[in-house]
Amino acid sequence: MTLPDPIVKMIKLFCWIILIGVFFANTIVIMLSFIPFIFSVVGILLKPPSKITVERSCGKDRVFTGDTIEICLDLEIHDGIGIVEITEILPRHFELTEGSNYIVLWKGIGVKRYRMTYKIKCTTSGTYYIGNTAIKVSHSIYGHVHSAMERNPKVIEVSPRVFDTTKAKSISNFSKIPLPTGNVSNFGVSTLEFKEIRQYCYGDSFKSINWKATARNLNKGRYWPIVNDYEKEGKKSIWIYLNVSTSMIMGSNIKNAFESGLEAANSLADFYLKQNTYVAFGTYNDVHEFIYPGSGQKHYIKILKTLLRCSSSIGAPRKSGSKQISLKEAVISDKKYMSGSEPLFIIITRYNDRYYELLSEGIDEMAKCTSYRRSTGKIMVVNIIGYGMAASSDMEKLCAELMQLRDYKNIQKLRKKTIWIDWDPSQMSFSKALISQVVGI
Amino acid sequence: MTNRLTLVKIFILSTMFLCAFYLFTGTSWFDFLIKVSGSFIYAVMLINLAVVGLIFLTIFTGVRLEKIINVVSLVLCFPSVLYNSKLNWLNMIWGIKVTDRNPFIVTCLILIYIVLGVFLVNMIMKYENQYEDWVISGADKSDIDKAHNNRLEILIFVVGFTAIPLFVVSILGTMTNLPRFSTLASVVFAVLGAMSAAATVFYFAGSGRYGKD
Repeated sequence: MTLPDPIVKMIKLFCWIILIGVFFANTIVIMLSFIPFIFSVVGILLKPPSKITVERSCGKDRVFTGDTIEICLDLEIHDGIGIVEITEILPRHFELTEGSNYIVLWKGIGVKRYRMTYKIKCTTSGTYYIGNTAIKVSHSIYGHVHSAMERNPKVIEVSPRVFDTTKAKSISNFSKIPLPTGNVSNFGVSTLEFKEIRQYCYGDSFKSINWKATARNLNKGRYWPIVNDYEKEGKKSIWIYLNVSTSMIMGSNIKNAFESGLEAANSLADFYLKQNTYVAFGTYNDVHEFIYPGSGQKHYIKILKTLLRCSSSIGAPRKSGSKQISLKEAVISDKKYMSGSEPLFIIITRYNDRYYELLSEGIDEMAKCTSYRRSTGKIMVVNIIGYGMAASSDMEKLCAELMQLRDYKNIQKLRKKTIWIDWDPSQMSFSKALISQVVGI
Repeated sequence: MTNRLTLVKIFILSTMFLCAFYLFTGTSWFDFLIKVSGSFIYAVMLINLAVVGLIFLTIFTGVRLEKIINVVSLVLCFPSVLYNSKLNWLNMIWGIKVTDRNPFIVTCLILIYIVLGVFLVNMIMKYENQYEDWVISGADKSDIDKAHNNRLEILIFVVGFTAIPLFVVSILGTMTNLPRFSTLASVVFAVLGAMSAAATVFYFAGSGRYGKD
C-alpha cells in the first residue's frame, strides 16, 4: 500500500517535530508532534470514496444536426467518505443546453446513489463517441485526488439535416428544382421512341430488321441487314460533387460552410433519391471519394456514411502519398460510370476568385459529358457564402459583404454556364435558397 | 458561508498572533527590546512594525497573508519554547540565554492552540481554493455547498478530537504535579515518539524498496 502525498507529508512533519522535541528535551514540542500524528492517522483511517459504478442511458443514437439528446447517468458509490467529481467528456462539437456535465458530490456513510441528467445539442454532423467519464475522488480532509476514467463509449451518429420538402410541396415550387432532362440509357427496356437505323448486330431480334432499308442497301451492294433502333428507357441520374478542401471551413467551429455543404449534399441526395433517380456522390479538392450511381434507401445510407466520414476528416492532415484531386480530375476518373446517361451535375462549393480556373475547368469537363453544347440546365453550382457565418457585429457583417463582392469578379462567366445558387446559411434555409434562385430551366 | 468562514479565519489568525505576542512579552528577549527602544510601548511598536514590514515584503512576492501570520506566530513563540527545553543548545553553544515569566501551562496551551490554528487555517485555505475551482467549473451551487460544509464539519471534528485530549492532558498534568508530570510526560512522549519514528522509518524503507519494482 502506498500512502498519498499529504499523509506522507504529515508523517514526515510528525517525525521532524518529535526529533526536535527529543533534541531539545522539550515536553511541549514532543506533545505538539501528536497533532500531525493524529491528523495522519485520521487521514489513513478515512478512506476516499471507491467502487463507483456508472450506468449511462441515452435517448437516441441517431439524430440530425441541431437535435437535442438527453443523457442520464446513474451513479452508485459504495465505499469511503469524501468528495466525488464527475465530468462527462463531450466531443467538441456538442453544445450543452440543459443541466451540467460536471457535478460535485459528497459521499457520506452508506451507499450514495445519484442521477445526473443533462441535454446536449448536436451541432455538427459526424460519428461521435459519448461515454468517457472522468472521475475525481478527493479525500474528505486532505483533498488529495485519485483520478480515474470510466470508458463505456456509446456511438451517436449525427446526420446533416435533410431538405425541407414541405416548402417544395406546391407544384410551382417543385418544378423549380432542376431534374435531369434526359432519361435515356445505352441499356434497358426499349421504348417506342425511334432513335436511328443501324447495321444488324449479333443478338438483335429479327423483328427489328427494317426490310425496306435492307433492300435499299442491297442496291448499294451492302448485304448486311439494317435494324431499327429505339431509345432505351433508363433512370435519370444526378451527380453530386462536394468540395472538401479546407477553404470550406469558414465560420465557427460549430457553424461553418462545410457543415452547410454537408447539409446541402445530404438534402439533395435525399430529395433526388425520393424522385426515383440514380444519385452518385463524389468529393474533390482533397482525397477523392466516390459512390457510383445507385438508388434506394440503402444507397442513401451509403452516401450519408461517406458524408459523415468527410465531416470527421476535413482539416485533418492528408495521408502521405494521397494526392489532392481537382474537380476536373475527379470528373475524368469517374466518367466510366456515366456510360449512356446524361446526368445533372451538382457542385457544392464555396466560390472564391482564386479558384476560378479550377472550377471553370471542372465545369467544362462536365459539359463534355452532356449532349448539349450549352450545358445550362445540366450543371448546378451551390455556392455557400461563408463570410456571413463568421460575422457577429454589424461592422463584421458589412466586411463580410465586401469580401463577398471582392470574390465575385469572375462569377458572371460561370453563371452563364450553369444554374448558379448562392446560399448564405446565416440568412436563409437551403430549401428557400434553392426555390427562390433556380432560373434557366 | 464563505464570509462566515473568512470571519472564522480572521478570528483564528488574530488570536494566534495575539497569543504568540503575549508569550513573547513574557520573555527576556522582549525585556531586551524594551531596554534597546527605551519603553514598553516602543518595543511593542517595533515588533509590530517589523511584522507589518515583513507582511508587505512577502505579500509582494506572492505569499498569502495567512501563511505569513502563521510563521510570525510560531517565531514569536520560539523564546518560550526554548525556555521550557531541558537542553538549551543555543545557550550551550553561543551563550544565548532566555527566561520566561509565563507559567508552563500557559505556554503549553497557547502553543497547542497556535499549531492547531496553523493546521486549521491551512486546510481552510485549501478548501477555499477547491471551492472556487468547483464554482468556475460550473458545478451546482447546492452540491458544492453540501460537499464543502460536510468536509469542514469533519475537519473541525478532527481538530476538536486532537485538541481536547491535548488540552486535558496538559491541564490535568499541570494541576496534579507539574515536576513529576513534566518528567514522566517527557519519558512517555519520548518512548512513544521513538516508536512512531521507528515505525515511520520502517514504513518508508519498505515503500522505497517496493517502489523500485
